[in-house]
Amino acid sequence: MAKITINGKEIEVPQGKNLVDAAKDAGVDIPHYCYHPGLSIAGQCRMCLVELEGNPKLQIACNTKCSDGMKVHTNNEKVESAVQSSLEMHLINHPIDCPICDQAGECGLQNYYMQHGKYNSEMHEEKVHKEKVVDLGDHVVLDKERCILCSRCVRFTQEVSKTNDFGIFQRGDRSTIGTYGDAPLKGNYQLNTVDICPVGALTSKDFRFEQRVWFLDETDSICGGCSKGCNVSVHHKKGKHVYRLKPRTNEQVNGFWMCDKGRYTYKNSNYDKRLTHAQLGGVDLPHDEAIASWANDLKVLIATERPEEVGVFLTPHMTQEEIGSIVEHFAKTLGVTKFFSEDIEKLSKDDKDVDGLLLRSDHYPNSKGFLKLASSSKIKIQQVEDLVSALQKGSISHLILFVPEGDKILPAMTRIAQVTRPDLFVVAISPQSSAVELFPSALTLPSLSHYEKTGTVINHAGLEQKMAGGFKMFKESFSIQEIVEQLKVKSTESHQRERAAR
Amino acid sequence: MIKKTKHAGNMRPMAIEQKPLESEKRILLEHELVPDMNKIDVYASKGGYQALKKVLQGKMTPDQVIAEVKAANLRGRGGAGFPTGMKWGFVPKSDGKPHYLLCNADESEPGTFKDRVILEKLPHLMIEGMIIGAYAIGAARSYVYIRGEYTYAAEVINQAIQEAYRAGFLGKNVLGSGFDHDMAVHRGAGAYICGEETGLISSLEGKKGMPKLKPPFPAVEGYLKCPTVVNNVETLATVPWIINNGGAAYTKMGTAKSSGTKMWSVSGDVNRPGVYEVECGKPFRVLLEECCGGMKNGKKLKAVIPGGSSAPILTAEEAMNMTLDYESIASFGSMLGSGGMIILDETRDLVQVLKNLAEFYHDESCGQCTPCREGTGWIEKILHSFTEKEAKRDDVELLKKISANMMGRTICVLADSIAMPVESYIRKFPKEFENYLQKPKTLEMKQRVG
Repeated sequence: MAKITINGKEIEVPQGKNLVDAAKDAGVDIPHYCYHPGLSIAGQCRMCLVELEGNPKLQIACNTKCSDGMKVHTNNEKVESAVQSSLEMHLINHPIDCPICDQAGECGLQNYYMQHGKYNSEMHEEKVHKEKVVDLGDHVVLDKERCILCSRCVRFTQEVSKTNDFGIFQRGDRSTIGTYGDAPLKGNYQLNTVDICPVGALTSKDFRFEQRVWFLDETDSICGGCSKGCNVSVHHKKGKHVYRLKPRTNEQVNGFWMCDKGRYTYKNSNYDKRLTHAQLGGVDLPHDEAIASWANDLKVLIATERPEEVGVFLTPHMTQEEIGSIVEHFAKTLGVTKFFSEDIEKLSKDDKDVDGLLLRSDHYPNSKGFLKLASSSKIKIQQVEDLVSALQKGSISHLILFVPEGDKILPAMTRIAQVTRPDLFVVAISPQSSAVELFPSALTLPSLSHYEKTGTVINHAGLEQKMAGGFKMFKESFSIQEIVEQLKVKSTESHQRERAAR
Repeated sequence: MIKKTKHAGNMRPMAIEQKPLESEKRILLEHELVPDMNKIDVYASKGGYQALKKVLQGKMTPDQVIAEVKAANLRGRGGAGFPTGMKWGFVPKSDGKPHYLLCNADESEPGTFKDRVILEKLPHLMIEGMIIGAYAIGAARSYVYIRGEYTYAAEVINQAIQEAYRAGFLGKNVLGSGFDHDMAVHRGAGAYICGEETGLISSLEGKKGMPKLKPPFPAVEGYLKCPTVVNNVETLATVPWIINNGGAAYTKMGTAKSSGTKMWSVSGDVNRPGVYEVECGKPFRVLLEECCGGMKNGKKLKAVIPGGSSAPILTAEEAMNMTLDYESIASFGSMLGSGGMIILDETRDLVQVLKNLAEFYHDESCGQCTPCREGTGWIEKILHSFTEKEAKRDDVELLKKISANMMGRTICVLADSIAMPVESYIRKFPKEFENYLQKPKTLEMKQRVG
């Protein structure tokens, strides 16, 4: 450990720690554009100039390693004027088109201008003009004029995604960011360049012009795209519409990044894909009634001691709490024994790195947790084919399907739907309509989408992670725990009513 | 004569027919006028490669070589004036990595053309110095990074290297000493910034010529992340003399802190522009009047840019009071730099001179660091509107502010290279700017400006 003094306050930091990070931990924000903790040091934006005592010249904090006895000033007049000047230099050729820029509200230039700028522009000359609206493929759009040439995107594609897409062309103030031969960006990590772009030069095709960022609320969650468990922040507007996902830093799991595939999983949360009301045979019915009719059918089987005729299909696209409540009620209370899923054991065993970066082959976010719960509660999970043959034999008369969002479950559902007889009582609980539509006569109940959920998932490495969730996009969609609880309540109610009638 | 090759750029050798002057002290240029001095036999007949033999056959250790250069107090002749022996001493011993010696022949500072004489006329002097330097730092490979436009010189150096290979001064087991050394020429592609040592290293690595962050310094992590020393042509060419005559003899010339001689390339309003080798510490007057034959057309001296275009300007009075050594020039707020001296007479418009420089530095900024990338362009634009459109008093203040904000704020010193002239021209010649402010834009004025 090393003792350093920042603005007169002594703090203890690990020897050799980057000064920008060390200061941040101590609550001192050293402005920077080119520095990013996940990338190599470029040292070119010159925003992080600080005074190190004993050094006549201001030094850049990003290339300074903390050492014992170091005395740093980040807020004296000398430093403040240097930072303001660096900011001014960044802005003289910037178009300052904030009103039409997607980055407005989360822009490094705006933020630092409010903190360190607030001067009147002295730039009266013609600005340098560069190319605008450059299409970089499926995900990203580039505005070369807004770019401040911090080279973060260049270093990202060199060092992290290894796609080497970006380069800086020309020199001096004619320098521009671009791709070699104007090629579209490659790979599954393109949108990280939008995240790390401190200004509005790189914007996401998916998000641009959709929403002003100051209207967005942020909710911490875990990506539902694969077993990696990348930490994400869900950006939604008052819990009514999800606009985007951004990676949250977690050195242990995803570092600073996430993949594009995972990034688009938020789309499953939004209206156009959602099941919003309980339905029976495709007709809306009050939620209460739906639960009641489910409880009634189930009651008959339980009362006549035929729990083996109940089949439950579930997947690891659920939190530990959700799976726990299903196991608790159906297996322990009702004595249901037939649980089905895909071959999670195999998925989990064969789970591997797909691209050497983040994406993994197991497409469920909670396979490890699913297997852990199954083994601790001694439940045998059978395969889709077992369910198919059971249905063909007619040994199941009440089928409960917990259908996850997304289309990865569609093949299994199609297979099950093919062998489902019209007289079978099917309850499908899902946030989405697509898979449920395969069962036209089923009783369907809307549940929460992945990012609305509060709970725990366990990633491929066995790490338990919490999803904050807590927002609810549709009034009549409920969490699995709530649905199971409602079922319990309805069963007891009808039981009591019957007893009273008797 | 070397056969002229059909290259673009300056394929013609430099025309210097100047006889050594009394006021000069020629230790590098001693045999410059000997015909065919670029040939190894002629060079050897004038005592060439004796120093290398002394080092390798006389069993001098690398440390002894470094000690001798340190004793000579030889300072880098490329611009910064850093002690050469100390630079060599920074290279780690037995670190297991290959070491490299790079000769910086990317002479591109406006006003500087002294290395060109060595490159074209005395290539073996530099090569001998390089082999000795490489031996001192344990480098098995060295490169001559030569300015792209120096096509003729590149040809001369290439032929000289081949001759040195044939003579056994390069290749495996040099002079039977067990020391292996290979040397090659790498031609630049025309960027000024590749003359900055880390920009040169980036360029040599095959990357865009952009200076690198320090630390790490090249002596620890340079070319291909290996310990590297970058030395100027003149610096390396001085090494054989020091080895032959001893460091102590070198310090007998010059002043206490600036020993030896310095080559000056003088251009501008003088009667005999050219390259002169003068003992350090001589008065400027000697160089101007005795070497260069005084001011052209009997005009009065107005200003002197002493050490390459980036050096702060000096008034005539300051120049006449200075002596030609690092300390004296620094005491007037400028620097000896590369020794590229530009003499300006009373008719010169210094605002136009500054605008010309601003255009150059704006064009040559690599664009990495924000203050330089944006500041160089801004300065040029302001000077342009100042001279061609409307001259505003605010502009002068703004120029001062911008230059102050560029100074010392970037990875390399290119930003300082324009900031220092801007600051010094405004401070030392305020009347030149005042002229633009006061004079209405008459037709006559416009013609002069345009």
